[in-house]
This record gives sequence, structure tokens and C-alpha cells, in this order.
Amino acid sequence: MPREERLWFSIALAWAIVMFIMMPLWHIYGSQNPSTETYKVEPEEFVTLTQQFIERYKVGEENGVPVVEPPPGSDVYLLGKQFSWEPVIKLKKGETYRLHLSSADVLHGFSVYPMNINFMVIPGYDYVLTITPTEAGEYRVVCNEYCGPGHQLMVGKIIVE
Amino acid sequence: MGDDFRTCPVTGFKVHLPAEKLIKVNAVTAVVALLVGAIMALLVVLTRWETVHLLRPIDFYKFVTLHGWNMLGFWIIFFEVAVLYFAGAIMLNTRLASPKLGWVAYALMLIGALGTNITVLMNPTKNAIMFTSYVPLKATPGYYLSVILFAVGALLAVFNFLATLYIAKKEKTYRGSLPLVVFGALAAAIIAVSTLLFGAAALVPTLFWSMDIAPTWDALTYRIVFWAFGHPSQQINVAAMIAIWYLLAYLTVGGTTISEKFSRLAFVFYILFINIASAHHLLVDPGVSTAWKIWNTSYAMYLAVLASMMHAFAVPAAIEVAQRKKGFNRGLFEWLWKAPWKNPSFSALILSIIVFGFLGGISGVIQGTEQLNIRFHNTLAIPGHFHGTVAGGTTLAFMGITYYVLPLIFRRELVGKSLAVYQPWLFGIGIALVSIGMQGAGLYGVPRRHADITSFGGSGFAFEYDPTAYLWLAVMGIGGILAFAGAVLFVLIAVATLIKGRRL
Amino acid sequence: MEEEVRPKGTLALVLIFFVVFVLFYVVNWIWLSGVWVLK
Repeated sequence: MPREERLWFSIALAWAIVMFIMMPLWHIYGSQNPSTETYKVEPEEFVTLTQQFIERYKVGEENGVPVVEPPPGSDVYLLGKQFSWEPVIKLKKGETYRLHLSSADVLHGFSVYPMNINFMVIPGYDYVLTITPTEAGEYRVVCNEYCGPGHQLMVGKIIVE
Repeated sequence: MGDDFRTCPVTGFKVHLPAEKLIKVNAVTAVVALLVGAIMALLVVLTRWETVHLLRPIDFYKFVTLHGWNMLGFWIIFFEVAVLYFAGAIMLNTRLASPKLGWVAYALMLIGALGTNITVLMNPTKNAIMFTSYVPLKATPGYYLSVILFAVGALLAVFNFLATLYIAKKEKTYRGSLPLVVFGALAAAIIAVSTLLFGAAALVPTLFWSMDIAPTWDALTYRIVFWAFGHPSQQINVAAMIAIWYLLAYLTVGGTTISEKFSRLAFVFYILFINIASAHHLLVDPGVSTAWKIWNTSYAMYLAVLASMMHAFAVPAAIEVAQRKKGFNRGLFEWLWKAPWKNPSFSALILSIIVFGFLGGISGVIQGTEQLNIRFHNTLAIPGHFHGTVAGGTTLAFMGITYYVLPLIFRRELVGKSLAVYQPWLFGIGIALVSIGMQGAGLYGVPRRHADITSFGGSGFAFEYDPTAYLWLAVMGIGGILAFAGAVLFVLIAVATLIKGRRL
Repeated sequence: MEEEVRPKGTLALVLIFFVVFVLFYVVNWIWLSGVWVLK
């Protein structure tokens, strides 16, 4: 192997190792990692859990969708269904919540604008993200996994105070 | 030499006439698919460019689904079948194992391609569910059957190629080891076999479910099996593209790899490691562990990435050494400035390497990093990545080799030579802007596969994105128009050559 | 390989590619660190 090729191969190999190490490293020292906490759940079950959650913490309504204000540290339920997100959620900046994501029907995509946080929402799976909003504001939840002809209607809201 | 062969006056290859016929038919079908896919691309890109916002949602979803199938499926795979027959039969001076099988394969692929288009066009509400057709979305049985028929046809074509290699080896129609280009085609074919088997595993049960014969799948399991088919299918394209890079380096400047072992090892890495790397589609999914995600997306993907970086050196080095030997030996880059830029195959080759590497490759590795994926998954940055790799890299390479296929296989002199010089630039720059624009918009959270980020169908929660996002969408829109023009120009040159070109 | 014919230009090009790669990789981690804390 000519020396230029050998040099490039060494650089490329070293870089591949650096990139490999970066991921476990960020799990230890970094603050943004995909969660692994998952529970199997029937879609109807999750719908019920979400309704119970809404009843407990409802503080109002927006565009016909219930608005809830759960206390810090609690389990927060967000249901994705064709074609809306329920409920609208009010959170406090700097506090930690356990956000449960699931679907009543098909795949949906949980995408928080403008943070650009993106996770899959899969029927049959309760995906728990432990989140701490770091900035106040009005965030939108856009569905970014095609879920049927009304896919573009699906927008929700998270308010951080 | 029997009746069934001719000797190419340019390359000296023994050309099996039945193989040549199949190469022509698959190549022409590929280009027709490219044209259809390009028209759909224009409609789609003029919808995502919010200033124009051309199509209403159901039509947008219809054409996104079919643009995906006609480009990623039919243009690429019909062309790859032509490449396999060329590499297996022509480059090894042998007969195609079974021309009959070749025609059966073609017929299945054609019926499948037509069926896919028809089922989606006629019933978009049920069938325009994207190339990924994620369960529990349920299409009509006709849709799944069409896709399966296409895949079966492609698999038969791959077996035909593998059998051809076996015959060439047995009948000793070539000396030494397989030429590197054929080795690369073999890598593509091996990946294709496992890919298509996974595709069957994903789609056959789904077909039975759509017929209400089988129960529904777990949605996560479907995703895992689908992507075991989905990403390796892209690695087939990468292996084929790189095999073409080596072929073009040879045809345009007489370049050959400076280390056979190095280049072959890189192809072997592709075969060994790409299947595991498909995990990068599941990095923000529930139900799969962190260890699985990291191991698969890196240990495997980074070895496949390493292979790409090896080829990224070997192909330009082949060109550089050939050029330096010709006397263009001054400074660092005289070999490049003084290269045959007027040859559209050469400019296509260089543009393919640059667009694939910088826009497709880098974005792919970064998007496929477990934690970084959180900011990218299902945003427009993802199509930005794969328009760099396959709409840019693979398509430009295929366009480049077509300029040799026309005179050598179809034996027609190129019509529109002066326009052909600019065609790769028009398409290449266009698709580069599409990739850049999409990645820029994705950084602002613009979703992929979305028909209406302006009014969200009238939802009460509609909002406006950061103004910069719309700027990036305009870049994508303008790039899309240029790329469309470049693709149409390519098709026109090819068609005009076949009809009016002087017979050689 | 003859001494006068070395792929120096290619080495320069891939090193440029490498620098772009590293920069884009690093900036993406910086951007990630700015989003909400996720565990």
C-alpha cells in the first residue's frame, strides 16, 4: 500500500474509533441521550391513562384540546392520534418530568419545534422520556411521521413557564 | 466464436448478443423511470417550496410515495440490472447464464413497477403511504403484491448474474482474478440477495395481513425487519456506484487503482458490515437498547464508513496517477485542472464523488450518530442526506456511464455532444442545492413527508417557522428546478441519440 | 510505485474532506448540547 494511502487509512481508522467512543462518552458526561425506558401497552390502555391524566391536571382548553399543568417530577402523558396531539401541556422551566409517548392508532413522530427534539411514537409502546425543559417559551409538537391523509393537521403545543 | 457473439471494436470484449439485448432493455426502462420520477420530483419540490406550494395534500403524498419508488426503486434497480449483466457477461467475455431467466426477471420487474404506480395513483388514500409503508398503515393487497413482484424479478436477475460468474470461471473466459469493477458488482449482488430476502420477510406477511389472512404485526418489529431490507438496499447502490467510479476512471483517463488489495478489502467491508448498520433508522425508537443502537450504528457502520473513505482515496488516486504518468505532473493539482473536463463522463464522475462524499456521506454519518439523531430524525435533513448520496452520487455515476453505454452498447454516436458537456453540471449543481436546502431547512425542524407547513391544514395550532427555514426551502426549490432540467436534458440526449445518432 | 508519480493531490483533497467532516461533526454536538435535558 503506497504511503499516502496508508496515512489516509490510519487517519480514517483513528477517526472511526473517536466517533465510536464519543457515543458512550456522551451517555456518561452528556445531557441529551435517547431514553430506553419503554413499556408495552395496548393503545386503548394508553388512551385511558391519558384521559385519567387529563382529568387530574386539566386547567383549561385551547382549540378544543384540554390544557394540563402537571406538577414537577410527575408522569406526563402525551397521546398521538390521527390527527392530533392530546393534551396541551404546561411545564415549568428547569423542572424534570417523565413524558410518556404513545399512539392510539398508527406511527407518529414527536417533533418539538424549535428545539428540534425528535422521537418515534409507536402504538403498543409507552416510550418514557425524562425531560427537563431548559428554556421558557411556547413550543409546538409537529407530527413528522406520515400517519395518513390528515398528517399535516397534526400539531400540538407544549408551554414552558 | 458462435453466432451469439460480436467483438467490440473499441474494447475488444466478446459481447454476448442476448446479454446485450437485456442490457439495452433494462437501461431504457431505467431511463423511462428516471423521467417519470423526475416529473414527480418537480411537483413535490414545488410543493415543499412554500412560496409555490403547488399540490394539495393527497396529491403531494401520492407523488412523494411514487417519486420515491420510481427513483430509489425503478430507475436505480433497472439500471443496476443492466450494470450486472454488463459486468458479468460482457466484461468477462462470457455468455449470460440464462437469457430466458433474464426476460422473466425483466417481465416481473416491469409488471411490479407498473403495478406500484397504478395502485398508488388509483387509490392514494389507502396506498400513498410512503416507500416505507409502515404497519399499521394498511395498503391494498395489489400494492404489496406489485412491490413483491418487482423484488422477485430483481432477485432473479441477481441470480442470473451470479450464475454467469460461475460459468465464466468454469469456462475460463477470463484470466487471473475478477476485474475490480466486476468484484464491486459482485459485492453489490451479494448484498442484494440478503436485502431482497429481508424485503420478502417484511412485505409478504404484510401482504397477507392486507388480505385479512394474517394478523397484524407489531409496529416496531416491522420497522426493524423493514430497515434490515431498507438500508442494505442503499448499500447495493453504493457498491454499484463505486464499481462504476472505477470503471469511469479507467474509461476517461485510463486510471486503475493503485492498490488492488486495498480496494477489494473495502468492498468486502461493505458486505460484512452494512446489514448491522441499519440500526441507524431506529436510534430514537422505543424498545431497542442503547447498547444495540451504539454497537450497530458504529461498530458496523463505522467499518462501512471506513470502506467508503478507502474508496474515496483510491478512485481519485487512480485518476491522479494516470494523469501524472501522462505528464500532468506539476504541483498538487495540475492533474486535475488538465483532466478531460469536456468529457461529460469525467465531469459526472468528479461531481458524483464530491456530492456523494461531502453532502451525502458526511451528513449520513452525523445523522446516524445515536445522540445526534435526536435533532435529525424525520426532519427534512434526512432526505437532504439521501439526495446527496443516491440522487447525487449514484445517479450522476449512472449518467456518466450512460455516455459510454450509448456508443458501446447501443452503438450510436452521441447526439447533442455540446449540451452533454453541461448536463452533469446542471444536474449536479441542482441536486447539490436540493441537498443543501433540505439539510438547512431540517436544522430548523422542518419535517419530511409533510404537505403543509404554512397552514397545517387550518389547524388552530398552526405557526410560522423561523424565516431562515423558508430561505433554505427556496434554495431547495431552485435546486430542484435545475436538477429537473438536468435530468430531462439527460433523457433527451439519450433518446435523441437512440433515434437519430449515427450508427457506429 | 515510481517516486515521481505520487497521489499528493488526492491526499490533499481527502484531508480537506476530513477537516470538513470533523468540523461538521463537532458543531452538531455543540448544537445538541443546547436542547432540553433528555435522559
